[in-house]
Amino acid sequence: MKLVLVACGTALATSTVVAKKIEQIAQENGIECQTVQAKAVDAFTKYQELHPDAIVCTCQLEGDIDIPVINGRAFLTGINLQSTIDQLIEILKK
Amino acid sequence: MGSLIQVDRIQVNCLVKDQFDAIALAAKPLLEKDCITEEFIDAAIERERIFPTGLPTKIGVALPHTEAKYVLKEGISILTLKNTIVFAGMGNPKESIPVQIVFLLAISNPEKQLRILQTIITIIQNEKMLKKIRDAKEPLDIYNLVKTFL
Repeated sequence: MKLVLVACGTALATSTVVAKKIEQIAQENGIECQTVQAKAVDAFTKYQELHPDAIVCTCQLEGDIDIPVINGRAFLTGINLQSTIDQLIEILKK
Repeated sequence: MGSLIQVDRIQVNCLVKDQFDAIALAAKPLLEKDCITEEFIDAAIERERIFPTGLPTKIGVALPHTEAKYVLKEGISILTLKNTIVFAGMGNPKESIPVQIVFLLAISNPEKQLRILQTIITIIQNEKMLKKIRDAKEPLDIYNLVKTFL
C-alpha cells in the first residue's frame, strides 16, 4: 500500500479535491494507494510520522524532505495534468 | 447545487483595488447571510498572504478560503472583476497571476461538499466556461451556467 500526503494551506478545499483525484488515478492504474491530508504547517510533522511515498501539495512546504514532492496545482487547473499524473504513477509504481 | 451557490452570492463586473479588497467584497454576501463570522474576512486575507490561491488558467481564477472555525453555514460566493487583479500563485507566492474570477469558499466539511468543489474545479479547467462566466452581465447568467455542470 502506497501512501501520499496531500498538503494545502488549510487542508480543506483544495487538498480534498486533489486527494480524491490521486486515489482515482491510482485505482485506474491498479495501484493500491491511500492519501492523508495535512495543513501546510503540519505537513512536515506528518511526513516524519507517516513516512509517505510522496507529497503532493498546493502550497509551499518548509523543512528537509527527502521524498518526491509534486506540485498538485495541475490537478486543479488541468494545465500539464498528464505529465503530473505520469510523474505520480512512476513514483507509486516503484 | 444545493444551497451553496445562490444568485444573491454572485456579483459581476466588480471594481476592486487589490486582491484583499476582492476577498472582502466577495465575503460580503456571505456575511450578510450569516454564513461566516466577521473574522472570516481577515483570516481569509491573512491566509491568502501566506498560502495564496491564484491559479494560472487562461482566465485567471482565485479560490480564497480559510479555516472552518469561521464558517457558520457553508456557502460559496462568486465575483467577476471589471479590472484584472493580481493574486499570488497557489504553491508559488512569488508568481503574479492576473485574476478575473474569484470563488470564495466558506467550507467546513469538504468531504460532504466534495461534489460542488469538484464541479468548481471542472469549471476552472474549461476555458469556454470561464470566458462565459467572465463575460456574464447578470448574476443569474452565472448561476444558470454553473447549474448546467451539476
